[in-house]
Amino acid sequence: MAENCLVAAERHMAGISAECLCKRYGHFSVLENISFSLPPGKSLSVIGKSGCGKSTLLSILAQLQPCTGGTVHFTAENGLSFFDTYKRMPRLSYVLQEYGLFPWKTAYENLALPLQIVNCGKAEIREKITALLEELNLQETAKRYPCELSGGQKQRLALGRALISKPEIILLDEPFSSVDAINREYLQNLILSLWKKYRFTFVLVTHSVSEAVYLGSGILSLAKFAENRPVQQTYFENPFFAEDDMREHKEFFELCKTVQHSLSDGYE
Amino acid sequence: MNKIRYLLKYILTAAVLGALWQAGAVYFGEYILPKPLDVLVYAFSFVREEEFLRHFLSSAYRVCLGLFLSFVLAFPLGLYMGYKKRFDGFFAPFVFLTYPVPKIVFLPVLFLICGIGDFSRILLIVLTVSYQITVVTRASVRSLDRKYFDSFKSLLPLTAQDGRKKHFRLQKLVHLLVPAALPSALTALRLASGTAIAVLFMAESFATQEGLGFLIMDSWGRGDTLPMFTGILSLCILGIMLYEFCNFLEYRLCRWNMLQAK
Repeated sequence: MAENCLVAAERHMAGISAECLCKRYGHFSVLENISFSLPPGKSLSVIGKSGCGKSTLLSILAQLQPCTGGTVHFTAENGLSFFDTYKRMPRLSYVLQEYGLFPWKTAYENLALPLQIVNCGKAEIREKITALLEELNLQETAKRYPCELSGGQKQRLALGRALISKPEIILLDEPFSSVDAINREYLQNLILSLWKKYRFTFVLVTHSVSEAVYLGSGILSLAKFAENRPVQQTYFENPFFAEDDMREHKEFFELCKTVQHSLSDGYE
Repeated sequence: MNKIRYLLKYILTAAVLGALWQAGAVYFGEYILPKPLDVLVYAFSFVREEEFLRHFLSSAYRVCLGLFLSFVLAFPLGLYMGYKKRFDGFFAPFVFLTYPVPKIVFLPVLFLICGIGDFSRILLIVLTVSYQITVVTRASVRSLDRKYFDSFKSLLPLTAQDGRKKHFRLQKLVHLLVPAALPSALTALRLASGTAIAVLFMAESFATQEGLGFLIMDSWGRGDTLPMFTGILSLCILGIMLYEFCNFLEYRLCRWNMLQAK
């Protein structure tokens, strides 16, 4: 079955390029002309208030729902289309807002599911999961159900489920919104260290400015000032991304302030 | 420890009911209501006779097969109705229009069409019980949170033609729909086991020489209260056994649901 297993394909870096994405439900417009290009191996934070279409954007990128206008392309490192270069689509994982874990499966079974779907062998699955559980410090939770786990453990499990298929792209939808502050910082650092190790491309949707700046090599701020006005989008480059102790740099705070400013009323 | 407690509760309830029975027996006199101890003593020797065993086994066979067939037919039907809007739109009116009709009144018709035999009796149980299971299963699939569908869909590999949906039906059934709907379906089955026993009793009181229903009606006709009450008690015990079996299934198959409820 191994040849059938998509996970076996070598990992390449993939980027995302979105052009003029729109999403309408009838006359109600959720997304208007969102464009960005995310180079392979980099990250993008999307920040904005509730209702500006952040989650919709992610679910369009994940191809869970079609967009009503615009296009999404996956690019390879050579700048061409990922599909044309490697003759396959990139592996993409999506961490849903409230974890999206299946309550009827144990932690182990939840992790195994993405591999079962692509017909991996049992031994291979066991091996991968054992390694991953250790990496995420979840060894003792393998046989527990999600309802027996703490918020932080669930979040790590959801992250694990996204990582198990060796994704080239990970989409994170407000991953830390329901975790306490201490766990939050731990999980942010965990994502960064995983990124340094695997160099996946990721898109993170968040409410928190400091999180957006800390975890994004690019920051896309979406500000909706009034119901009838279009969403104002501003893009910031973060030159200090993934530097050590970035949280303590002066530039970090300045960038936070600029991003914050772009979200507040009156910014044009 | 929990099991012992559970058993103790059962015994205590049985003791209270027995005491009420005893009081009733004293009040009404034993031609109407024999004393529980007399019935127990009689039952103790009667259950070892081949005749009783024949009655009990044929009742158990009918009701178990009836419930099994109901579940096997009704659960997939409920899943499919809950999942496929188009099929549901076509089929749901049939189900909901015929749902309130008491199926038991078709007993004579079934006997005429399908002959007097176990087939008609089991069919009657299936007709009555499968409705409950179908309706509940359908509802539980329909009310399943969208996030689980999204979550499942997000685990499927991307393909160039956006073919995520088409290929993974079996996996979706096994990993998403069946486990999500199973707890409510088993609850429906548990409730249905009580209904099934009632239908069984009706179906066995006509045109048969076998079954606990026959035993009860026959002894009643002869004014023989001791075997009649043995039959009644046995039906109760059969009901409890089925109920507990459903509990056991739920414990084995849906432990996550019980943990979540705590």
